[in-house]
Amino acid sequence: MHDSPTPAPPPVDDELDRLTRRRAIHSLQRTLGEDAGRAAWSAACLDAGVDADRPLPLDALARVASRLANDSGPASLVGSSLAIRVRTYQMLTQARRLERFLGGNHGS
Amino acid sequence: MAHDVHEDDPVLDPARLREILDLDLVAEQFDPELQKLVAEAANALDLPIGLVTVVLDDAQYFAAMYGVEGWLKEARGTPVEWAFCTHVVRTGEPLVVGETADHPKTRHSPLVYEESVRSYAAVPLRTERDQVIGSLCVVGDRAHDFDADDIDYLTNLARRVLVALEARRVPDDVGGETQPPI
Repeated sequence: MHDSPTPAPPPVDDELDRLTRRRAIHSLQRTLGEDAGRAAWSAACLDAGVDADRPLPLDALARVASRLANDSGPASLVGSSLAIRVRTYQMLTQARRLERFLGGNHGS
Repeated sequence: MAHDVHEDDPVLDPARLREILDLDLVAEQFDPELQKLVAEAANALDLPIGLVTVVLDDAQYFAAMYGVEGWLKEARGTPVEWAFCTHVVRTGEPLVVGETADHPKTRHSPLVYEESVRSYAAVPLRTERDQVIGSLCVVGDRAHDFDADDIDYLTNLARRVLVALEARRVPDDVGGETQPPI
């Protein structure tokens, strides 16, 4: 008997999600070094139950941020920053005001 | 946004970021003493909002806030490129803006043209280790004339904020282990 293949998650093509993820990884690499930063990202994604190599929607990024923020070391600061950034975007999305705040610039 | 951080930006100084960790400045719980002081600042200058902001590497965090409502209250901070307080961290000097829509350091922030932040005065929070970790600031929803006495008042109040912040310092040697550098 074969398991049904897990359906691939829908593509996340939102520029904001992609850039926010990239920005967080860059922050970790700046803080911890290139390899350790990438490893910290992968570990946090694993803990959060998300794929480290895919673009992530904001709710998944929030879970990763929470994992990083609970770290006892320097990665916690990156996690806190990411958590605030994601919360801001989520709140403004709910209020249907995000586009006006970003004005075409996604924090890149 | 116009005021993003760059690799050589003082905002990203590893020693400054280490200081933020050592002072446990991103704790979830509000410190009642800090809450009292930001309310005092806002009321003394007759402005609706008072904040203790901590400028992290990529966001500003409201360690204490008075008069903040809506999404800002829920988010408890903003992306760093929207924050006025990054300028205070960069210069280590007060920033006083009577009309944010006219000032080159603030007019491009969506907090001005979307949130009606119209006036702002901040003094740096410089720790015992000579690190500027953020600011004590007041914010108005209309243009405001600040004078030298206002800034003196905020500067004196910032000393009390720093006493409360220094009390949170994590010892250098916790359980025999030295804190890792950033």
